[in-house]
Amino acid sequence: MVVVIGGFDIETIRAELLNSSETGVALRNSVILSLRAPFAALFGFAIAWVLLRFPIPGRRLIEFSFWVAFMMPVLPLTLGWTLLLDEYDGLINIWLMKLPFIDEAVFNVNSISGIIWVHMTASTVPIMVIMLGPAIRQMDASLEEAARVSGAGPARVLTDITIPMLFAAIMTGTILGFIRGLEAFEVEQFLGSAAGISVYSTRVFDLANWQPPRFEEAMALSTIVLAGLSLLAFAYQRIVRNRHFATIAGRGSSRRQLSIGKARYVISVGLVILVCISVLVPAVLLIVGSFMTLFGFFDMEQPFTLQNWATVLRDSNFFLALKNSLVVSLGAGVVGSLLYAGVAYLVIRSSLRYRGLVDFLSWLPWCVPGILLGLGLLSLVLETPGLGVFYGSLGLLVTAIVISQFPLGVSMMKSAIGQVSVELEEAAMVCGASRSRMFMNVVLPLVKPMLVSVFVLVLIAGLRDISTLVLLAQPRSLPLSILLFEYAISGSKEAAAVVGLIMSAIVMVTALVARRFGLNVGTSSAST
Amino acid sequence: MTAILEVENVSKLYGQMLAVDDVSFNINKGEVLTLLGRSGCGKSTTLRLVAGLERPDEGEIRLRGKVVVSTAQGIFVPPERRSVGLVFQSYAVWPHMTVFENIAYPLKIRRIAAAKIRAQVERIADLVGLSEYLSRPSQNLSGGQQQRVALGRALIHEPDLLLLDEPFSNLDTELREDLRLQMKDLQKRLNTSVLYVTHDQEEAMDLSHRVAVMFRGKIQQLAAPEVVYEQPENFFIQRFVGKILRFNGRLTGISGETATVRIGDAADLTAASFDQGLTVGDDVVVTVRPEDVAIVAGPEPGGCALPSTVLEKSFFGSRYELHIDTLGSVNTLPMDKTSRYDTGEQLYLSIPGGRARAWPVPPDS
Repeated sequence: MVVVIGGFDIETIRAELLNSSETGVALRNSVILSLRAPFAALFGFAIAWVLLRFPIPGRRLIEFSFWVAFMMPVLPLTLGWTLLLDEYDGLINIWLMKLPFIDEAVFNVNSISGIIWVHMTASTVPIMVIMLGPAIRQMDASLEEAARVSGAGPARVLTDITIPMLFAAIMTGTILGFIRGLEAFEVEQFLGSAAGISVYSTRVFDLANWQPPRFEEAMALSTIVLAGLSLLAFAYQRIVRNRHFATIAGRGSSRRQLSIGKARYVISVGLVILVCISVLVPAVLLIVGSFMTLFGFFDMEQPFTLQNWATVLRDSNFFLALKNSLVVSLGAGVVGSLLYAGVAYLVIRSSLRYRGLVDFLSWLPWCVPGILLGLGLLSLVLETPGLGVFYGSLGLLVTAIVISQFPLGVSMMKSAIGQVSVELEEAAMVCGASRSRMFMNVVLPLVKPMLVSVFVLVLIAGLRDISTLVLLAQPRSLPLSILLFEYAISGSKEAAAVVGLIMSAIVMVTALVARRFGLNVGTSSAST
Repeated sequence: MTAILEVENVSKLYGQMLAVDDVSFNINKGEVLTLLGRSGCGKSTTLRLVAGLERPDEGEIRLRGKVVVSTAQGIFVPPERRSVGLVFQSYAVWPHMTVFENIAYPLKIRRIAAAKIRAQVERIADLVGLSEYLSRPSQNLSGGQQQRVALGRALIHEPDLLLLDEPFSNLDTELREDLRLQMKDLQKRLNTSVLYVTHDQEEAMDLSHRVAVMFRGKIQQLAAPEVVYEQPENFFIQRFVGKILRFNGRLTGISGETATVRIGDAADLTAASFDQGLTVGDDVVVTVRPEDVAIVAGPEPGGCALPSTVLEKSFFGSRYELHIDTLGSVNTLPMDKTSRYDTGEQLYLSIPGGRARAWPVPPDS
């Protein structure tokens, strides 16, 4: 937060802008790649709308699959895609080249379009479907039915009624998607560096890894990005100002569905194909890849082996990384959820003069890309006397995760605490309980489900995160996600596949268990 | 002359439950027919089937003689191509459009010229009393105003049939009565055919030419309001439409359509009993409308007077209500302010034989 602003330096900014074409190229690429956000938002919205409003066969399975795609870390799935789409060894290219009229590779995953493809299928579209679903659910179906009875067909209803009414939600999704796009790191590093494609986050990573590290330039570059993001946030506020429509679904009215006859089978098949592309195909390939002697090479004498698994599971580095991951994610989960609950309570209930400021500050980290947060913390620790002891420590990693999840966590706790009527607290105090007693006995138990949900979400974030932690982790504090990353970019793709599978399995099991217990893990995400 | 709406043997299943069970009725031009019943009786579902927002599992629906849905022939006309107007219970007024745009929408879809649209919208707005609100965004309208926007939007394309789904249930009492009168007036002027859905029996009786009382997906009785009130076909209908007093008793004699019932173990009462399959010795329930009961001080020669004790007296401004115990059956009876019976006192209820009805004991009492 305040940490990052410490890198502000006009001279270096001007130097960067004027002298470094690399910076310009990186920024340009970042923007281009982030432009996938509006398309994904509209596409994801249409999918979420269709799933909710029409009786699509297999609806529950399809919704679940999108949720799985939302939860799965992207880098392992990217590994899967390289098996199919690599320029030289990708299976699809090899098969297509067998056709007479094609004699060079059609697809190249190491390109801008390759990066966009991986993001869209594995991440951006599923995220939009999951995020926009609740907004649609909150809308009264009568509003759409009224349009149909007035003579509008389903497509007309979507354009005249649904989209305008949910404009604010779609806009929010687009902006958040855009910001996430700028933050994207590991896929770009893995796919992009081989082709010389750099983006903002990989450029920062690159600058920070120089010996000695070029922090000033990284900061200058980041300031430009932050300025851009602030403008974006400002523009968003203005656009959405008069477009918030409160619609409250009446009893059962949000689940009403309109009939469209046989078309629903066609749509169902289409969505199932989409889902397979998003999750199933890359996941299966990843599993296959983990058993390959040489990742991607199918035409060897002995293409498959168990050796990769044996090697990884016998490696002490792996178990160290596993331990580190667990410590970081559990630590961040516990510290984070309690912190967010406290801040949320402060913002909602107390009459402190500066609580509006605290509320505003709690949203700042949303605008800060992970790599920048990592950079800021790194330079803070290195350049502030006395903090050097935290360099490379697990505590630093925990701090990074807690800060990065601050906006979402506080927002979720605010919505939960906001639902506890003040009168419940007042009743306790009238009965003689002190404020802290009342908080323990009345508020916490009532928000327990949300508290646990936040804990799980922070835990999963800690397990998955790469961009925030990559600059902060040192060999002894390396978590599993960074181990995966290092294997991937150093060419040990087989080991990367194994570690990726294990990490994905841990994340998915945690998410599934939480979901089974009825916890809110993106199944009905808090509205922003 | 073809009926405007013909609903023929329509059924709709939700899972295992029959929400609409073999329902049939017609509506003629200019007629108001009300589906009356409690929540969950299937009346809203029936309305949505007519609008095309749901598909029936069985049956056929025709609008102006043209089949809009038929399970036998596999026909289903989607809602946007049926010529009906629908006012939703929640009004469903679009907050991102002005009042004008809301009302004009059906014409915009039908690609009517802008000048014609303006003329029509102003005419309808005048009819429903919204002329000064046309350019307002519809976000901050009151309930009554929203309801009129919804009505205007439903009427503007001159549909064959107007469907109203409990349009007054979200309004407060005073507004409800005002709007009801306006609605009645409007319907007469435009001679619109109306299918009305409500749980409020007074509304149903006031506004309709015919009432269909629904319970558990079936139409229990379809007749003019007076007939449904005075000659209900079963206990449930009589209890639901209007108020009753009920007395438990045993059938001691039956001749033709007149039964003699012993109430408690002391008094005998004659009651009408039509086609109920009752035999002597059956436990029965005798019902009578409060307006047919007179409070008398003592038993009358040749009449039927049931001894009762006043348990509680309540004051409601324009009348008193007495909570009375009559030989084991407890009822509430209004009493005008000139009579002076008080808690603990004895009185007699005089019930003319021709006005009481005897029924078999209903299963859920």
